[in-house]
Amino acid sequence: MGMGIRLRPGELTRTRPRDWLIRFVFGAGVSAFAGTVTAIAGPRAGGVFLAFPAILLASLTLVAREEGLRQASDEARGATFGTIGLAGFAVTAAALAGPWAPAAALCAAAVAWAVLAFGSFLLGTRTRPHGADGHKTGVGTCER
Amino acid sequence: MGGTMVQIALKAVAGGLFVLLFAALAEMLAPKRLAGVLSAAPSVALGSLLVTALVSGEPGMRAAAEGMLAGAVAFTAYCLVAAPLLEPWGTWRATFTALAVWLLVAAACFLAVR
Repeated sequence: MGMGIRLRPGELTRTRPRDWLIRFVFGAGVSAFAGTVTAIAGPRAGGVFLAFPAILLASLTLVAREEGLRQASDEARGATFGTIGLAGFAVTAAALAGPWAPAAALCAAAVAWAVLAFGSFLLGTRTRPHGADGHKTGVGTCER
Repeated sequence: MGGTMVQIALKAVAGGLFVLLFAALAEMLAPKRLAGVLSAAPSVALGSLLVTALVSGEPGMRAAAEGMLAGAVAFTAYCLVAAPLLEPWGTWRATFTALAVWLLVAAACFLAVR
């Protein structure tokens, strides 16, 4: 079974300006916290919080309230694949910082994240068995 | 002290902008079930590491990325705990239990590789 991934720029107009502002404030807050830990305890300790699940935490709360717990559970399962990519991002960035220019190392790390996250997602949803009700179980359960 | 505050402020702005970028990507992507994958995008990491590299140089960036690996492993544990607990336990109990697991795993991994 194939899954076509598409980009629909028109969807951006549906999001309210207030929601964009909340997301910015959330991202800035987590970054400031990680920066503060870095200033106090060093870059290695601060780096741990670069993979703090704050954005997912906010997302799960929102999805559970608006679309139900089952959908939130699916979101968390989908995020599992993103975290595989996140580990790949960290390993790539650590390995290439120094031999490569910082911007190039970060670009390569971002590519590693995308390949691992979406690759494992596609592999996971393709190999997951069908449930008794005829729907796929797990990550691919809901089509939003 | 002033320089540190500026650095933290720069990281905050950069992190916020990258979160917006990935949120926009999540909005545009179809099918929507891919949104979960983007909830674990390296948005905060990209902004912070970029500023770290510009201000502290490559050694600082490398150390932060090494620390991030501990957080990423713990993030996987967070998802594996939260996903099955959300429906039976509800949002708050499930996410806070998962957050406690994140803290424990992150601390263990950080201390193990230090």
